[in-house]
Amino acid sequence: MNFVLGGMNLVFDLQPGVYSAWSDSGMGKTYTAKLLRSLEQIPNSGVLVLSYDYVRNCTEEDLCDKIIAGGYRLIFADRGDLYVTPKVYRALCASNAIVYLDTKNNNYDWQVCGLDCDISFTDTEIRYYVDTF
Amino acid sequence: MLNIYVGKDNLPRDKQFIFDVESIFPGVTITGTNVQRYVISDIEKGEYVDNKRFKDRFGGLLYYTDMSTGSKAIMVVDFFKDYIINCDECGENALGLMSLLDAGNVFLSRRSIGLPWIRDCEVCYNGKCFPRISLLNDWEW
Repeated sequence: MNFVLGGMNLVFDLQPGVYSAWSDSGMGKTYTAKLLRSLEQIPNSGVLVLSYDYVRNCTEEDLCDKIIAGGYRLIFADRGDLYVTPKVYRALCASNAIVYLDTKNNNYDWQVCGLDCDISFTDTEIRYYVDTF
Repeated sequence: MLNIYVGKDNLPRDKQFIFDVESIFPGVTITGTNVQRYVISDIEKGEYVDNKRFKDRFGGLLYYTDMSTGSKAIMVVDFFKDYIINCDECGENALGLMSLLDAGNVFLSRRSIGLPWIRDCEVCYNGKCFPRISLLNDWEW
């Protein structure tokens, strides 16, 4: 999956699925999040950025419908620990998008939420290639 | 004194609690203190340049807003010594650096293993004081 942003070709070498950000500080979670946010500005990019402020104004049902029906290629769930319920998680899995699930390092336990989300990555596991041209 | 509070029921009511590190970080004055330089070096693998920018691990110049949240948390705890700072977003490496601080207030919503440390310093945990973090870890976890 690739995006063109400001002359750079960004390639996400990942299969569709939910990837949770869980690493030591300084590994690039926030930086990656900022990058993903900027992708939303590309017209018809197929990118969905979720945030707590965004989801607090819609129901869980509406959120799940939007995730599944939207046909997104990339979904970024900023502070996903605040609103990704088991139902929302299942919707994210069903979306067939690459889902970047940002969360807290130390504290949030997806198992608490009943989610079998043990896919985590370090800066070596999520690889993206940038070609400047 | 470095104060660690774990669990919201243990938050003292006489201090202001800051939930979001990112929101208060713009209030930190970066002057290249020893702590700030250490954080940039140890966590960001970079180096201090001036009060607006640092050099990242790839040699690029970044603004401090691009630092990791863990790095910002340490600087916030150090700068706003009277506030209690939510450090849930800190990785173990960032939490360990908190032990370099002479004073500050760290909050964690929960903790199931011992606290990491670089300097085995005096610490108060939920109001109970220990001469060393290692003793706290032995006592609590």
